[in-house]
Amino acid sequence: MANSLRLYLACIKNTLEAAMCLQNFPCQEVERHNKPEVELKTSPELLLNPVLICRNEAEKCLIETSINSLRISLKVKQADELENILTKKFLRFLSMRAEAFQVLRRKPVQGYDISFLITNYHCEEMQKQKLIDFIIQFMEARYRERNKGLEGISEHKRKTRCYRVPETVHVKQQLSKDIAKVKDDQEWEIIETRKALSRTGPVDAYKPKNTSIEEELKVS
Amino acid sequence: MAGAAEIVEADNAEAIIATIETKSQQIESLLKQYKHIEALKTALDGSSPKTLDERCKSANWIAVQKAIMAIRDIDGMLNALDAEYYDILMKYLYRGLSTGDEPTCDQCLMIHEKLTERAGLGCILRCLTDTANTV
Repeated sequence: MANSLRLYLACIKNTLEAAMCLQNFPCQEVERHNKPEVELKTSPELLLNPVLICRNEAEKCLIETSINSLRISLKVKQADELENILTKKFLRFLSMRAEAFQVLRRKPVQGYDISFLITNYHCEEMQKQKLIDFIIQFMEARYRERNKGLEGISEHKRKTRCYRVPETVHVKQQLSKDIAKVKDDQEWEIIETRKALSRTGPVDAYKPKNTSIEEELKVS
Repeated sequence: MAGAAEIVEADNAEAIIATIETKSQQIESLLKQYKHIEALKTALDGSSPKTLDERCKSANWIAVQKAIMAIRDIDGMLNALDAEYYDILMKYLYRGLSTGDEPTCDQCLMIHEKLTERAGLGCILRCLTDTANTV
């Protein structure tokens, strides 16, 4: 099992090393435009053969290259509904922050879970080896997290819907839980004071002066 | 002109499929005699004719797949194979990897790793860039 994962990642790494030879290429159709050719696919002479690397029916990696850009789409295995939901949440969380990642594509390619788009500009700013290492480490971390999450779940727990969620999703949920708790506390206080007021009325409203009869008689 | 080329292509396709069938019978007999390396060489030999017909390509692929799945000793096989076969073998490996069938993919991944060590990244790049002779 571990060996087949190692071979799968090694194959992807070698293919990426060979495929990531990108150079600047301004658009041929429109002047002064520079577009990633792999996304548009307008000129066949600028595209290389797309390569699909499958580990089994559920896990695959599609690598499409062109002269100035490279697109990597991954599909990870989801054993059941629970994993499906967790994976979707996690990957949506990442895709929404695609700006920060730079090489991440906002929407995955149809039929895949997540996509990366690497252009010649990325290769100029960042080292090619490090880009490839990033993608491989991303995949490895995905597998490790998934296995960690699954270890903590027993069959019984799964059936009763108590589950340990992957770390990042857990942090986000914890944060929203804290906020909700504070809101709840404040609301509770407001409700209680309102109830108390309706029972007793404002407590400090009537303050009679404590005068004795002698004082009253003295004054007059 | 294109029409004539297509008709020629169809005739050729029939002839090519016939040759492929004889070749696959040869391969099966070689596999039964446990001569895996010769079987693979025979399979890879006849697959280079430039044909656009999908049936020919599928027929070629089936023959090569039988030979690849029968291989147990990958290092020995690569030792015996000449360098000119590396490129074609790499193309067929990628075709095998795209099928998604687990045993085929496992076998192809193992051979891919060893073949990349031997042939280098240039072999992979030639597979990617060769849009004229796809497998």
